[in-house]
Amino acid sequence: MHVSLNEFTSTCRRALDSLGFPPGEYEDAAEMVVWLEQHGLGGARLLGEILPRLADNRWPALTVTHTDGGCVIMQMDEGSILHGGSLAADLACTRALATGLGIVRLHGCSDRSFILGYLARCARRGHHIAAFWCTGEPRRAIQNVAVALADAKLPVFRRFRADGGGEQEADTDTLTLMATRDFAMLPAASAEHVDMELLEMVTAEEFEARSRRAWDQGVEIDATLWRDLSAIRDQRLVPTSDASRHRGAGETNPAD
Amino acid sequence: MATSVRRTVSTQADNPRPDTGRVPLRPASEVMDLERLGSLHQCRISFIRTIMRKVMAERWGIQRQRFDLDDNGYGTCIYRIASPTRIYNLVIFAQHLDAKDRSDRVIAQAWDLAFALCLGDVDEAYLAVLRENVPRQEAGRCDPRVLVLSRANRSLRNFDAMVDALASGEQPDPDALAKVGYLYRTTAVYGNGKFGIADYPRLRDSDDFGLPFSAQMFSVYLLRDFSIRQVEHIARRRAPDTAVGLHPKLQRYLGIGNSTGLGMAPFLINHPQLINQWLLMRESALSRCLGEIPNEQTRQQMIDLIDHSIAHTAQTHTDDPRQSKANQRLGQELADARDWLASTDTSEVMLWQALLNWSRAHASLETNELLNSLLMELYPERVDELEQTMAAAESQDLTPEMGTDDLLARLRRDYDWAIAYDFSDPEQTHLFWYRSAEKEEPRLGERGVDPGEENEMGLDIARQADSLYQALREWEAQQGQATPLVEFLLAYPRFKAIARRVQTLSEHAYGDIRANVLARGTLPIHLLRCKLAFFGATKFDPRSDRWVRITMFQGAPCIEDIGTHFADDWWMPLKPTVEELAPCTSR
Repeated sequence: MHVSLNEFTSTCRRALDSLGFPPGEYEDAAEMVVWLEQHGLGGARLLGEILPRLADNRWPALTVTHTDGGCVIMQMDEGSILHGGSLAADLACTRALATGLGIVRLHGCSDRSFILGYLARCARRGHHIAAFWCTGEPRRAIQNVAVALADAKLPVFRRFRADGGGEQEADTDTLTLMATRDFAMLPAASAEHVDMELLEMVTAEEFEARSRRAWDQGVEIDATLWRDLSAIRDQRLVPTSDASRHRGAGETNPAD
Repeated sequence: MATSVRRTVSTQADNPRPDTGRVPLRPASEVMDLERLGSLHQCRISFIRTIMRKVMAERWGIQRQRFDLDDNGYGTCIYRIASPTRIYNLVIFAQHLDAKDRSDRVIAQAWDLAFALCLGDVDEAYLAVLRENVPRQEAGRCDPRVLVLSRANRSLRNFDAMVDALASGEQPDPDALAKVGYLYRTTAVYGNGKFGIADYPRLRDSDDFGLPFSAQMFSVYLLRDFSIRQVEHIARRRAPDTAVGLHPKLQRYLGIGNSTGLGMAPFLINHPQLINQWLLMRESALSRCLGEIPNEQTRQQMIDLIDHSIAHTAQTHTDDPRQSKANQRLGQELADARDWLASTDTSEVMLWQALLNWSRAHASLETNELLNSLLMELYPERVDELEQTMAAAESQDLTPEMGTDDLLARLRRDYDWAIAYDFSDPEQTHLFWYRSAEKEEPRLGERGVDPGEENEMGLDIARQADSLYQALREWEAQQGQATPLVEFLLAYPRFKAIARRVQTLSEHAYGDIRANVLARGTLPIHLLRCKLAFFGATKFDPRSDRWVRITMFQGAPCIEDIGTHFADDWWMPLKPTVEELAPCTSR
């Protein structure tokens, strides 16, 4: 089904609001979903996969279990990155400003690729920030790396198969965020490392082209997902009545 | 606990602030008062003024390419528009509407006509797609070739009378047009991605429709021409031997109506950066003009404008007692202002500032704001360029490193008006806003009386700011010190939206309307009028405290006038006189 980006954003926001996301969080979560879709990384499909889980979950606790200046370890109580995970990135940026380097490791968190859109927002605010997360099977780990540089509009995203002799375990519920005041402190991601097989790379230019296409043409959303999202969104609509229709809207002689 | 880091993030590069000259901008406490916003009038940088200047200056080519209407005026009409850079088509579907289906409410399912502004030419295949979807409005689906989707209903008071008059060889009664100055009222004008149409960013960088609402306003302008051609067509089909065309003076005197309910209200609260930009440009224009040194010529021009406004106001009709009283007062106070100005020495360098001060002291808000709009007419060279910066970047980003003490200080500085409310008083939370299941129409309920309170919309900015203020104070007391905001939000994520809003708007003073919109006695119509004034509306005709009809483009050049001299003085037209309506050849 063809929808505009504005429609998709609005429907995601209101659906997440219906699911109990707090004000501010439902906007951010929706923006992260739409960003991924707008930039060609399947945000809508991923949302469709996790929607039943989001509908069932209570809002998970997000706690700091260790803090040491620029280094913070956080635990999410089996939640999605959409459940306020953007605050972990905000915390990394805050610590980077205070100490030069801010590292946050967030455990217990799923759906981590949604963080890409929030990295772009951090960069817009003037932060250098990178995110690392691992997907795949044990011993067949795939490393996902996204780097957003301050004031750049868009990040760069790479996926590597880091076989390294088949020893690496896939840590599939941790997101590592690293923010810095200094561009030079971010790792240079080489595509030619001998132990790394570059599976995918999306440059800022490619993201820009995808984004422009989405603004021009809208996006295609699975009809079932659209129906489900709309149904969740509509849970916050108030059933109408004659009193609501007349007094609530202030109608008088509408047809003269 | 980490200590806070002080750092300022500016977004002003995306939301430009113009030079304002030697007179400071009016404070937000004055400008953002809800009743004042509900007293605004159109001005030179209102959107319909801007689009008319553009169309006339660039001599846009507009042709009625297709006009397939039956004897009753039902059928399809296509306007082809050539701007200097692109081709557009406005496609109109006019149809029969049963009286029982006639409603200006957004909950209506059928209309007298529906129309779409499309990018590029429309072939038969695409016309069939449009015919299938455009008349269904919200129930249809469009694609990004459609830039604007809208519908309109006839004014029953005028339409039949005008057809009858023209068919019998007469001109319609100008008094009736002074009372209701249009044949059609639009009841929704959709842009920005609604129902599958083009997202606004597709237009944002275009030369033609990059400014806010310009595509919507242009579409409405063309509808005005259609309304004239349609009544002439019906009259000719009914009485080919006697029918006459509408007198050119009356064509120009005819506008397009709009009927607006609460659906418009959330926009002003949900787009604070855009609202800030609109008001900042208006206030900048005012400051520039206040700083101009008057001479005898400009003083006389101002007196003439005031006299013209008095006449226009006298021809403005409404059944609403509050607005009717306000109009009467406006007329009287304008006369007082004219007398004051005529008797004041022009050697007064700050004459315009003195006039503003006089109106502050002696006149209503309506008069204040109309005088401000009139003053801007004197100095187009200082005002018109500001229309180019009416758009704004609308991203609200968190500044997580900001200290809670810094945020508290901003709340005390910028939201003192919100903190001053006592939200433990039920009178302050008497109302709640909700979305109805009927086409998601925003409505107002009484707390404890109407159902839906648990699904209240988050338009309660004053209450949220007050809650944030109290929570931050408690947080600092618990922590024993200020902390970075992010630490507070990790504990209390429900404050994220309002915290980010306060941070963002501390650089956008005109972003938040300074009112508690939950309080008993709140007049939502003020919100509607504010936005409509920026559109360029005139003749505000409230139908209740949450429902208003207005007129647009009354007095504007007709499409046949494009390419002729344009004085940009059309915005408060007077009813044509009998002499002006001397018989002319039918068209």
